[in-house]
Amino acid sequence: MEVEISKENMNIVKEMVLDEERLVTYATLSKELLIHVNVSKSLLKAVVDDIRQNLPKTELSISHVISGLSRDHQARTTVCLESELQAVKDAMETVFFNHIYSVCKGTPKVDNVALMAVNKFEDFPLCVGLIKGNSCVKRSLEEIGSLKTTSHDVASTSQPQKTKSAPIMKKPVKTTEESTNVKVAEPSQVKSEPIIKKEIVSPKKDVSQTNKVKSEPKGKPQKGIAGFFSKQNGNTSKKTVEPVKQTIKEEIKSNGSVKSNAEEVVTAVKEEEMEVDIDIPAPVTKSNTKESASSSSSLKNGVGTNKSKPQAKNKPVSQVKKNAKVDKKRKRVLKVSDSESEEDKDPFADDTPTEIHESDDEIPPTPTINTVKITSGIINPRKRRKIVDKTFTDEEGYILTKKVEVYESCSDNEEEGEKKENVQTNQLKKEIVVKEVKETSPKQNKKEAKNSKKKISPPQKGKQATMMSFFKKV
Amino acid sequence: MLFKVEASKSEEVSNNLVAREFERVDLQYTDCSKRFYQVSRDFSKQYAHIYAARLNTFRNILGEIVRKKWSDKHKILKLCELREKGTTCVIIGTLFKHQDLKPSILKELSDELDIIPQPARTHFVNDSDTLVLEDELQRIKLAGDCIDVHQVVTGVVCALLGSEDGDGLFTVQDVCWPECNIQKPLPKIEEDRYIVLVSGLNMASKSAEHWFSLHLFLEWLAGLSGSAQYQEQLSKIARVIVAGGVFTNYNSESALNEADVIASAGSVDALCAAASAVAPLDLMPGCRDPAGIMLPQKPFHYCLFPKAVEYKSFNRVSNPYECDVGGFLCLGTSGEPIKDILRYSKIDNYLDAMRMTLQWRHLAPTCPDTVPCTPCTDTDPFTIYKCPAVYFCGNTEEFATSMYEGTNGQRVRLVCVPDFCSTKTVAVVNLANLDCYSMSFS
Repeated sequence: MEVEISKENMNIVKEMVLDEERLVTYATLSKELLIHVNVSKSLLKAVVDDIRQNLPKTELSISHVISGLSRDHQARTTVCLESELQAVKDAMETVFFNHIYSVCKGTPKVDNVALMAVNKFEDFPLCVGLIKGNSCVKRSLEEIGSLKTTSHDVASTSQPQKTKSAPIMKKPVKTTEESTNVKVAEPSQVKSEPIIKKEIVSPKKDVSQTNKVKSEPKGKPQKGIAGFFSKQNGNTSKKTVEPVKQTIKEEIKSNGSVKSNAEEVVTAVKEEEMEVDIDIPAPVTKSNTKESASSSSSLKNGVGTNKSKPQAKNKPVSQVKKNAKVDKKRKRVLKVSDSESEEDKDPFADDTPTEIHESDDEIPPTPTINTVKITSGIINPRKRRKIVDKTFTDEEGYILTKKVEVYESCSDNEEEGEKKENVQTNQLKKEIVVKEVKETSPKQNKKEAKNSKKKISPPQKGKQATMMSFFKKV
Repeated sequence: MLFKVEASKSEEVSNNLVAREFERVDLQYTDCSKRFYQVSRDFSKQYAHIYAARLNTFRNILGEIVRKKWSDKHKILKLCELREKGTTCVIIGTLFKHQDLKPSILKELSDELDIIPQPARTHFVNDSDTLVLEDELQRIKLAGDCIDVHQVVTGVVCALLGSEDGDGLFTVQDVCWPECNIQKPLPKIEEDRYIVLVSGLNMASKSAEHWFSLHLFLEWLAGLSGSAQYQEQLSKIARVIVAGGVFTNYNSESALNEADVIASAGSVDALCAAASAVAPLDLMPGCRDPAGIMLPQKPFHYCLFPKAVEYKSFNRVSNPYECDVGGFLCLGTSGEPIKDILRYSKIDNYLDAMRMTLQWRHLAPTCPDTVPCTPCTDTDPFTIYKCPAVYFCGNTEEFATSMYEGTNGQRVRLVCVPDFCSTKTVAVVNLANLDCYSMSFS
C-alpha cells in the first residue's frame, strides 16, 4: 500500500491479534492508535499479510466490508467473511469500495454483536479521519442553558405563575408592615381620638386607616395569607358600604379632615373605600354612645357590658396569641378598642356573636337601650338575620338587629345628642374600661372567642348586609 | 461517485487508502417549520375551526385556478346559493366521504352489545362509499363519474363544476384540484450535494438485528469506511433527516413500552450524538415516539438527548417538517397522513398517495378526521404553501422514489423513506439533479 506503516504499530496490532486474541476492527485500531482510519485499514491488511506469510498455520477470521451496486441497481454496503467475499463481489455489478473490516484470531465465528460491542456509538467521535461539518460543534454551556430556558418558556407558562406567587408571598409581609405601621400610628390616633370623638371624626380616622390598610390587599392580587384578610375586608366593606349611603354625608366632611390629618391615608383611595370608612364611623359612634351610656348609665348592666366589651377586646388578644396573622388585625382591633369599639365591630363581629346570644338572652329582660346597643355593635354580623325579625316586631329588638346598619342612623341621631354631652368624659371612661377589660377577661373569653369564630361566617355578613341595605333603601 | 456507475474506475484506484482529511460540505439551512411549531394548542376548541380555516384558505387558492381553468363562464356559488336547478355553476367545498366501514366508537359499542364479532380491518374502503361536499353551512351529495370516490379522501378541498338536480344531487361535470403551488426556481449546483433520509430506527425494540446495520450506517456517514475517493463523496452529504420512528417504528405491533423507551434513551442519545458530531441531524418524532401523538408533533424534549443536545448540528424538529437546504425546500412527514390515505381510499401505494397530496396541496387531508391532530383554530398548518423540491414520507415498507412533474413545471422528488429496522435501507437524495438512491446496510 502507499501508506507507510510503522513497524511499531504493526507489532502492536500483532500483539493484539495473536497474543491478546482480541477482535480488532479498523475503527478500534484508529481509536486506540490515534491513526487515520485509512491508515488503520492499510495496517490491518499489512498485518494480515504479514501473519499469513510468517505464520501460515495461524487461523485468522477476517471480515471485509464491501459496498457496491447490485445487479438490480440496489446500492448495498455489507460486511462479510473473507470466504464469502468473492461471491458477494460477483453479485455486485459495481464495487464502490472494499477493505478489511475486522481481524480476529480463531475460527470465523465472530458475529455482529461482537463487532458492535467493540465499537460503540460513543466511540465514533474518537476515531481519526471523521468527515465533520462546520456546524458540528459543541454548544457552550451558556447556549445549552439558554436552550433549556427557552424550552421551559415554550413548554410551560407555569413558571411566571410561580414567580407571581413569590411576590405574593412578599406582599403579605408588606401588608404586615403596613399593619405594623398602622399600629405605630395608632397611639397618636388614640391620642387624637378623644378630640375626634368630640367631633365624632376620630373614629373615622382610625377606621379609615384600618380600612384602607385592609383594602390595600384587595387592590393587590389576593394572596394566600392576605386572602384571609381580604375576605374579612370584603365583608366589612360590604357592611360598611351600605350604611354609608344613608348617614355619612356629615361624616364625609369629617373624613376629609381626617384624611388630611392622617399621613398614612392613600390619596388613591377609591370612593368605595371612602364609603367604607364612613360606614365604619357610624358603628363607632354607636359603640361610643353605647360605651358612654353603659359607663354612665347603669351599674347593673355596667358589669355585663364591661364584660362584653372586654370579651370582644380580649378575644382579639387571645387570637393574637394564637395566630400571628390574626394578631395583626386583632392588634388593630385592640387599638381600636382602646380608642373605641368601632374597628372591633368589623373583625370582632365574629367574636361577639356568642356574646350577642348571651346579650340577647339578657337583653330582652333589660329594656335599656345602652346594653342593647353595645352588644349589638359588637355582635352585629351573626344574629342580624335572626334578630331582624325580632327587631321588626319590637323596638328594642329592632335596635338590636339593626346594630350595624340601622344603628348608624339611630346612633347618628343619638350620637349627635350624646356626643356634645359626654364626649370628653366618655372617652376617659372608655379608656379606663378598656384597660380593665384587657386585664380581667382574656382567659374566659378565649373559649367564647373560639366559638364565635366558628359561628362567624362571612356569608352571613354578606347576607345581612344585603338585607340591611334592602331595608334601608326601602 | 457515491452511486454513479461510471465513477467506479479500476479497483486499485477505488481502493486507494490515502489518509486524507475531508471536511463536510456546508449548505445553508433554514428551518421553515414555524407553522408547525406555533400551532395553537387550545384543546378547548373543536375541530370545526380547522375545516373552516382550510376552506377559507383554499377558497382563495381555488378562485384563481378555477378562473384560469373554466374562465369566467360559470359563477362560483356557495351551497346556500344553489337555487336554480340545472344551471351549471362552480361550487367550492370540502369533500367528505361516507364510509360504512369507517371505524366508529359508537358503532363498536353497539356491535358489542349485539355480540357481532367485527373482523379487524386494515382498509376501510367499500363500494358503497359516497361523497358529499360541504362548505361552512351546508353539504350536498355528489354524483357523476368525474370524481372517483375511491381516489379521494375526506378533507380534500376542491372546486366542482356541475349542476344541481331536482332531487338535491350535484352532478359533477369537472373537478378542479388546487394543484401544487408554483415552485421557486431551484438553484443550480455544480457539485453533488446529498441529503440522507432515514426513518424507523426502532431503537426501543427488543430485537437488535438492525443495530449492526446502524453501526455500518454510522461508519459510512462518518466517512470511516471506504476508500479516500469514496470518503470524498461521503463528505458531500450535507444533512441527515430522521423521519420519525426513532424509538419505536410504525410497524411494531406492541404499543410503546415505557420501560423500553427509557432503557433505550441512552443509546438513542449516543447515536444522535455520534451522528450530529459528523453531520447536521434533524430528528423528527413519529407517531409512536415519546412525543405527543397529535399532528403537528412537537420536537422531542431536549432532556431525552443530554449528549446530543450539546451539538449545534443536532436539531429536534417537528413532524411534519419543512426546511430549506441550500435553496431546496424539503418537506415531509413521518408517514401517518399518507398511511391514513391508503387506508381510506383505493390508492394503493405511497408514491401515488404522495402525488395526490401534492395535487390536493395538502399534507394531511384526513386530519383531523382519522388522524389525530391538534384543534387548530386560525390556520390549517398542513396546507402546502410552497412547492417543495424534496417531498418525503417516512416509515414506509420499502424504498420508492419518483419525480412529480407539476402542471406549471414543478419538479418534486418524492421519496418513500423505508423503515430502517426492517429494510436497513436509507435514502439519499442528490440535490444537484434531484436524483435519489437507496443504500442498504447489512
